[in-house]
This record gives sequence, C-alpha cells and structure tokens, in this order.
Amino acid sequence: MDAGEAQLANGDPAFRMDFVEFYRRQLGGVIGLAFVLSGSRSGAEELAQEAFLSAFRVWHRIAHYNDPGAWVRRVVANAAVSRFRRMRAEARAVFRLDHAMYVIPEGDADADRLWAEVRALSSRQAQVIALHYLDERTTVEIGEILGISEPTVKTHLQRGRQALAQRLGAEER
Amino acid sequence: MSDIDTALSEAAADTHRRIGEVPQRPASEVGRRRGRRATAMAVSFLLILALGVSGIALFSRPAASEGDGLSLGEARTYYEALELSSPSEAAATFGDAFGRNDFMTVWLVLDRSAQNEWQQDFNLLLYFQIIDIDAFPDLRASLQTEVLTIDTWESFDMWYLFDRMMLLADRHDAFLIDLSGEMTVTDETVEEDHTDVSATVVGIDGVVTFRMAQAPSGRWRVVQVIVPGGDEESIPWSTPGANP
Repeated sequence: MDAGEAQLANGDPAFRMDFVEFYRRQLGGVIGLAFVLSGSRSGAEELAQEAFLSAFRVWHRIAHYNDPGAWVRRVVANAAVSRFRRMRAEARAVFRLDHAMYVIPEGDADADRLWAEVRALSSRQAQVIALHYLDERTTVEIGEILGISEPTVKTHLQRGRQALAQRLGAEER
Repeated sequence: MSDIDTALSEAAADTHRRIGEVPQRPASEVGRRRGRRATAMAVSFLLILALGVSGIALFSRPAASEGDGLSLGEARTYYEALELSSPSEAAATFGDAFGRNDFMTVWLVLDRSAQNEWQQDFNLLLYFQIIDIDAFPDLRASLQTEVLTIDTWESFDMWYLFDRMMLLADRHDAFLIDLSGEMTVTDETVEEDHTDVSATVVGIDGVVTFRMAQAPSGRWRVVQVIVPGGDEESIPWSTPGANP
C-alpha cells in the first residue's frame, strides 16, 4: 500500500474529497483529449481512467501542484499517441462486460476527418494542437504540460498547422 | 484567423458537445475499478506467463545444434541453465548479467513479485520507479522514439520491454541503481522472512543489499536491490526517495 492508498484507507476525508472534486472537474476534458489523440471512441474513456488511476496513486504528491490537471493531461497525451496503449485501452473497453460501454457518440464527420489528419502529424504536433484547440491551453501551459519549452510549443503549433493546411489544401498564414 | 484555425476550433466545439453527452462514470467507481484492475492484472499475468514460457522456449534448443554458440549443458532451457542454486549465486548471476547489459537475464532472475511490481509501474506510467527521470530532459520523447514505438518491437514479452527500458536508461545514464561495476558478494544473512545478500559494487558507495526469495522449485531470485538509505517499499529498485 502506498502513501495515497494508506490515506484513503485511513479515511482521510480531505484527501478523498480533494481527489473526487478534481476528478469531477477534469474528467470531461481529459476524455476529450484522449479521444482526439487516440481516435478511439471506445478506448478514450479507458485511457482517461488509467490516467486518473495514475494520479490517484500519487495524489498525495501532485495535489500540491499548481495544476494537477496538467499532470493528468501529460499522462493521457503520451498514452493516447502510443499505439500499444491505445490498443490495450480499446481491448479493455471491449472486455468490460459488467458495465455498459462508454462510447463517445458519433459527431460531425468533417471534425472526425480533421482529427484523423491531426493524428497523422508527428506525436508532438498532434499533442500541441489538441491541447491548444480542444483544451484551450496557452503555449506556456502546453509547455508545462508536455515538459518542453514555449518556443518549441510555438514551433510545433505552427508546423502542425502548416502541415494540416498542406494536406487539406486550406489557407494557413 | 486562418481556415485551419477555424476548422480546428469548429472540430473542438463538436468534440466538446460529444463529450458532454458521455454518461460520465461517478468518481466512486474509481475505487471499484481498482478491484477490476486487480482481476485484469491477474489475467495479464497469466497471459504474460504463457508468452514468457513460449519466449523462453526459443532459447531451449539442444546444445548440439548450436555449434560453438550457446551451450545449456544438461539444462532443458536457458532459464534452467542459470545459476540460481543459492542466494549468493543468484545475486552474482543478476549482477553479472547487469554488467553485460543482458537485461533479459536480469528480468529472469527477478522474483515474480518484483516482475509484477515493475510491470504495474510501467502500465501506470510511473516511470520514476523504473528509471531516473531527472537524468535527461526529454524523457517522454525518448520513450516514444526509443522504447514505445511498437512497430519496432520484436516481441510482446515483458522481458523485452524491460530490456528496452534498461537499455534506454543505459544510453542516458539513468539507472536508478547502476550495477554495471564489478560486484563482489561479501555476506549472506538469513532473516525470519527473507534472505539478504550483501555486496560491494564498483561505483556505488556503501553496501548493496539483494533481498532474495526462493521459488517452489528451489531456485533463488532477486526481489529487491537496496542501496544505503533506500526506501524499502520500492521494488525492485530501492533508492532513497524513489517511492515518495
């Protein structure tokens, strides 16, 4: 049992409430990020849950961060671009027979096609674009989430947009 | 605003709308999922065991077919050929393999509980339990390019992932405990519930302790490697502050 689990086992209400509140606030955004970067409507929620489980294990540490949500986003951003983790999450979702499946509903086909093009970019460019447009993070925040410098974020953002424009024949200044 | 900007913003709005329709799991189910995860871990353990047996079988060709290559003597498999007959011999085998960057053998000499801990940490992305994450700045990118690119994998066996992670650590000088130096076993102590092997390793200050466990077959393997001040909760690598 690690320190986080020990605190829960001891029934520390502050510890539990903090995590529950954090989870409620962040879940939707983290699922969205996992969906956009993985492209899996069935596996996105599983990826998000795994990231929250990881956060739960070290909650005693990251709860004191300025933005624990950034920590979870970093985990899910890295997990979602990994084909291995994406496949595993999809498999787990399929095998989850004791609960109704959580599947993100179908939406605009054009949006899906655009996200598919985003996923075809380099992993870093896809992460930066998803965090910027979907999560509405600033370049400074994205740098903190991914552990890279702000100029690097700007470069990935610009090159990602240019590559998308080239593929889609759209305008990018 | 460019066309791409507009398109991405619209796609984001569509995604927000769709995620809003997802019936979100109550937070209380996170705890319940931990129970299901234990079941999943048990299933994956069995799967990995099966894969491991098939993987190890690849090394079990008769010595006669190897010419001047690998000789297993009278052993049936490579694993059975390893010298694990006593705590000290097993620790020495572990250290010798580490020194040769033979991390497949290091994995095989880890006790199953240590293998399970390592696998759990890997699955949960708790890389700080596996590798010195402060040793190099672009750990995530290196993981993606040097370890997690599944297209380059030659096996799904866990020893192979372990091997790749350890090679990554070697390339970036990021071992949590670096046993590459010459190792000398100095003592063996039997406690009520475990056996410790003490050793000196060139490059590490103080005594390195190998906590050993005996399998039902009689073979000894390494549960934990402990350096002075190591956190005893961290398995297999017990370093100061490794498990905050």
